[in-house]
Amino acid sequence: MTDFDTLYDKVIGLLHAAPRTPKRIEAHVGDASVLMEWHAESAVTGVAAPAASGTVEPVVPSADTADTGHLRYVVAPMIGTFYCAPEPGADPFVTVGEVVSDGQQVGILETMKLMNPLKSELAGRVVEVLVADGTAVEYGQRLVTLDTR
Amino acid sequence: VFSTVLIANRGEIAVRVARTCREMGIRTVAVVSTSDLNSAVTRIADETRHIGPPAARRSYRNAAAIIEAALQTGAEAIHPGYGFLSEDPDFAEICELHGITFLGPPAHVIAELGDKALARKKMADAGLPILPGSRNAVDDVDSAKDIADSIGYPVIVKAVAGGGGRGMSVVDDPGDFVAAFTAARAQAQAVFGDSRIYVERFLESARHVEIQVLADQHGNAVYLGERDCSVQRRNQKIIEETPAPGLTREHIAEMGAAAVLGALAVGYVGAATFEFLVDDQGRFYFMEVNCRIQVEHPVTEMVTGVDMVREQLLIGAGHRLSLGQEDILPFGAAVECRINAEDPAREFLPTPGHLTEFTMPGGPFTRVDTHAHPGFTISPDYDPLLAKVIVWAPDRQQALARMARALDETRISGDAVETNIDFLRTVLATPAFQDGKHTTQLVDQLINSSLTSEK
Repeated sequence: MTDFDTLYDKVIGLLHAAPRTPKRIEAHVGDASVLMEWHAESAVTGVAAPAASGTVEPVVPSADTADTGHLRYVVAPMIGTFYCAPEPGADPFVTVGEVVSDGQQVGILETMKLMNPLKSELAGRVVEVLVADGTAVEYGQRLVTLDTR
Repeated sequence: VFSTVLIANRGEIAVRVARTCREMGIRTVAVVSTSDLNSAVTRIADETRHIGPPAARRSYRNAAAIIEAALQTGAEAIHPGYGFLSEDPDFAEICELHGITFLGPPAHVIAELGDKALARKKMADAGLPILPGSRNAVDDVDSAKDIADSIGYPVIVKAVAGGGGRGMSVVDDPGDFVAAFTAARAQAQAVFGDSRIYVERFLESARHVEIQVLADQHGNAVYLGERDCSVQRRNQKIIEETPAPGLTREHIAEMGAAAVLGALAVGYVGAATFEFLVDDQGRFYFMEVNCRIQVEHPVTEMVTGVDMVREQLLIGAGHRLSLGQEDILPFGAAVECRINAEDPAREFLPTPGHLTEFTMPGGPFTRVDTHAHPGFTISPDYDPLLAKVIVWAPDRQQALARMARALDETRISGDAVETNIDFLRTVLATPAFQDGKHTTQLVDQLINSSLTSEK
């Protein structure tokens, strides 16, 4: 197969693996990299690892609704490392007491050296940021507590 | 060896791998989906990471999440078990890029052998006997038909990317070929994302006999005897045994030598299974290579005394094989039954549910590999394997009697849960099986005859 055929097959595979039609797919063959982008209203950027296919996961933070009452959580959409600020030493994305809106970025989740914006799916007041900057977190782990009253 | 190994799998095989790691003093990391947060392996592993939701695509098949878990926990090697990412060349390559040892063959070897048409060609070049058929994948239906006509019917059309009994179809009548080929090609594209098909003679009454091979990184390889896996339903094995009934030691030595030759020809490293079909004349034909530890590996362990997972770990760490061919002396007979949560009366439909009773057999020379327990919930997200019961005895007759006894002791019940235990008992008691004269058609014959007798 030619490089083109390989690339074509991979892109078709990526499209099938994606939960929604992406806005953009960028692919390179040498040292293979893939970038997929979705429209902001549906999800944010998910990026596949070198030479990987079918591993693209859009970052869709979801609220943990198991909790009763008015407290809700922004949870990790994937295993990774949580960062509360855009870069070391910078102001955090959110602080306790601040009111966040639906879709607002509250942190960064790094998975396999790729930085994915972590956005809240809910509006509410930040009660607590539950993990420290640079903490390794698991799938579904609670990261930020929101008061949704 | 390694100080930390991550187990990228679930169910009984995750437990199986963790046990050997513990015996070797290796720290283990279990990765689990939301369904398996409190699964059996988490009680044996030193550390557990929650990597994703129940859907395997986002957990056990999610390469990024597994690599991230390995990096977080300092794992030096990943054991992929069987299924999931165990034969994914991309995953093997990603492990390599991150400096993590993938406990399996190199990525390019997995890719070559995963292409069933290419594997067939490579093995034919290495001198292994293959069934008459197309030399390569065939693209157009006309040339495929010409090949089928020249090799003679029945033929089997197989997806190049197929495996695990999926993506194949048997054609008895030349008039049906075009339709079958077209359907197989469409299915191959839909299921595997690869429409390539090849054509091969179909053996109606054959035995499925496979050879276990171990190869190190230094060009040494040995075979650890054979397994007869002719009892299959829908191309899925349910009973496996060694030695293969009716085959002489010389016969097995010939197949073993062929498998070792094939492994060395492709630069194989790790545990490989060479699958062969054996016809009623005792002639054998190469089918495919499985690049992973097999579900049925315990029967080989029982007669050779070799811990397959231990060997995989030592090979991955760069050790030379400590066993020469002359050190491998299979002794006695072993049989494995796979106990699945499925309903034989409804075409083996999986029956997920909650187990209220789960009593496993014990006693002499009886091994059970399982992750289930009373109160366990069988998830609909994964395969229905509940337990493997393996017995050893000095000869086949005693082994079959021991297996019948073990199955009698096995009790599993739960809401909506059915198992294949009674079906396994029926197979064990069938004269053709008792005499070792059965072929891969046995299960279909049993089902058809039970349907006929009900009418």
